[in-house]
Amino acid sequence: MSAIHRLGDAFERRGKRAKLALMAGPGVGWLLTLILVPMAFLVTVSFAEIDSSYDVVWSFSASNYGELFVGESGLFQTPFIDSFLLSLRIAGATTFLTVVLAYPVAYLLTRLSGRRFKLVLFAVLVPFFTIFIVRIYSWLSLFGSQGLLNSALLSTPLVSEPLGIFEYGIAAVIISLTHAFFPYMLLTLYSSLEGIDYGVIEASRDLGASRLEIAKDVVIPLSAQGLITGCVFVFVPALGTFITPQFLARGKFTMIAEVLTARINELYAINYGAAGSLFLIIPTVIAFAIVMRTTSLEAMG
Amino acid sequence: MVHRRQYIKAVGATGVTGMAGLSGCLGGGGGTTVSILTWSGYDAVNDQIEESLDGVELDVSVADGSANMFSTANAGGGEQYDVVIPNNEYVPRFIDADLAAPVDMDIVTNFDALYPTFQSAAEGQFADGGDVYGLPVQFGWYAYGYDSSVLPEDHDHSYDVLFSEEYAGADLTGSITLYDGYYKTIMATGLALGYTDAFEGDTVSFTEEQLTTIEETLIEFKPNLLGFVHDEETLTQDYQNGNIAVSFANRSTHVGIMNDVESVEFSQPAEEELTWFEGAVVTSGSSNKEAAFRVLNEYISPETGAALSENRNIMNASQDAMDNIEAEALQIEPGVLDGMIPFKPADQDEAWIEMFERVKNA
Repeated sequence: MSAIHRLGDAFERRGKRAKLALMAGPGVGWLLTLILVPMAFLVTVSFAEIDSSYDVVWSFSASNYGELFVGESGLFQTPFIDSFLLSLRIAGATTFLTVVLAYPVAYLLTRLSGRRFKLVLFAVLVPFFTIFIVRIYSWLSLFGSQGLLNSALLSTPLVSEPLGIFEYGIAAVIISLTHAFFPYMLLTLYSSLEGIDYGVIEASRDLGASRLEIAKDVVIPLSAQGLITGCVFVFVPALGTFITPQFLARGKFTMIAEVLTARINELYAINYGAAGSLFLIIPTVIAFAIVMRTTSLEAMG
Repeated sequence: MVHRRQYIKAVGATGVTGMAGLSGCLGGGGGTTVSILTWSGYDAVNDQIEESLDGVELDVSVADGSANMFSTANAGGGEQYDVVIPNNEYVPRFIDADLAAPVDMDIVTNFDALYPTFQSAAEGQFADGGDVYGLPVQFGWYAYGYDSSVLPEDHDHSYDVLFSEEYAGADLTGSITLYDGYYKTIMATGLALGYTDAFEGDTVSFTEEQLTTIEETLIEFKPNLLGFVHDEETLTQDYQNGNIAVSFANRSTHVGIMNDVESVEFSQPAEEELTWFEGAVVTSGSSNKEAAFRVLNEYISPETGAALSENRNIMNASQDAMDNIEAEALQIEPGVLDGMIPFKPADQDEAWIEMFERVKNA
């Protein structure tokens, strides 16, 4: 190869690199400035102390992490752990309910086309066009011993006293979160189910498989990637939810985000908040690791 | 199609408009801008103050709580804001951190019109080395509101109501709310249990034994509570729906509720009310101290003070301002200020908040 050709190749390679840098630069800059730098600050503050004047004392201390896990009564006997476990249970129940409710609807959508498809999709998604806080206020009216749900039931001969499930509390929070995160699950499952070759389902039917067997052995395994992605999309925000329990728990229990917010707002304990937030990242990272190992980008829709 | 000349004209006009806007932002008027960090509602009297004080402009920012105000002011070394208006129990913290400037009594001429209770409070809680560093502006108190169609008005007013399944013949099971904050709820429980001695020093100091009893009382009574709630909208909706009969919260919150729900009344407990007042501080780093004190003087003046109170549904610390207020819900009994228990810092903040978290998760 002549020297002129080599020089030409070098210019071409440099040009490609420059183009790549130009294209990726803003995104990388954004990531560095707005995600990695605050993250680094969060990690640093989680090891710092706050003095009585609310000044950050830059010392390396693991006491904030210790405070999360060690209470007066012993290891893991802290309000943080109590709230964390409760949040895990609530997020788990929410994820389970969204799966149970969204699967049939997503399957139905794949069987519809044209105007009927649009109509069902619109009917399912229209409540989500309203502002979240407005939806929370409507849930507020529905729940409670004198809420619309219990009042309606009490006006029938079916019940004689308000039902506990429709009182403010854990059930109300789970129902509201299920409603809030339903579209995430629905749309992820739909994109996954839509990719299934329905010839396989018909073949199963021809071979004598029951509806349950088809669902268990064909539909669910073939849509597993979408299911896992949907679960992560619901579980992660449900774990860190703040507004919903603020209204519907009536302060009778605290989810993890509320514990951290109260400590920061009332004591300016940003070091405790940072340590708690970092601990919260662990289940999120695990969830994403599962998705990355099991799911392709296409399956995420 | 846009003609080239039309385009140039449009660009020119946009530029002129932009420059005019920019000069406005830069304070082209040449006045002194007093920056204030405070609670919501203070900006309602901006125009009134700017009209009264020639050459003074106000720039009001709202903070979410006194701790937030202190940390913001402290982070800026007391130079970012000319005035900060936290709750009274935070003013000593400003003084200790050298963030507060001594009040210029030659400018704050309305100081003498403050209720004697607040003059004494300023000369006590807000004083250090013979100087006063904070000015009481507005005040309110915490007690309980109740639905008079459920709990008769002539019941014995006491914090005991908050911990009773039945009181004066009224069934209160599941229809009581406490404040969703450790500080106020623990103090109210302490008062209901008769621990008045804990409120006597510079801080609220419950003994370990008292704190344990407070925690046990709250946990034991929790099943009878509707919950821990304090925001006006939610409480109003709950009163309207008949979900609650008694609620422990700020008086101003209840004034708002009373505007919407006729049967709601506010109590005067025998154990006395837990009183807070906003303590305005001119920061030591302010370069506009004189203008800042003139603004504070306006907040407690008869006209502006009354307007501020009516807008925020909160009483004014100035008697002259209160005399100008017409709203019935803001009128107070003459003797109500006599036995008030002022807010003081908790001596074991962290233990209190941890205890409250345990109560909520129990």
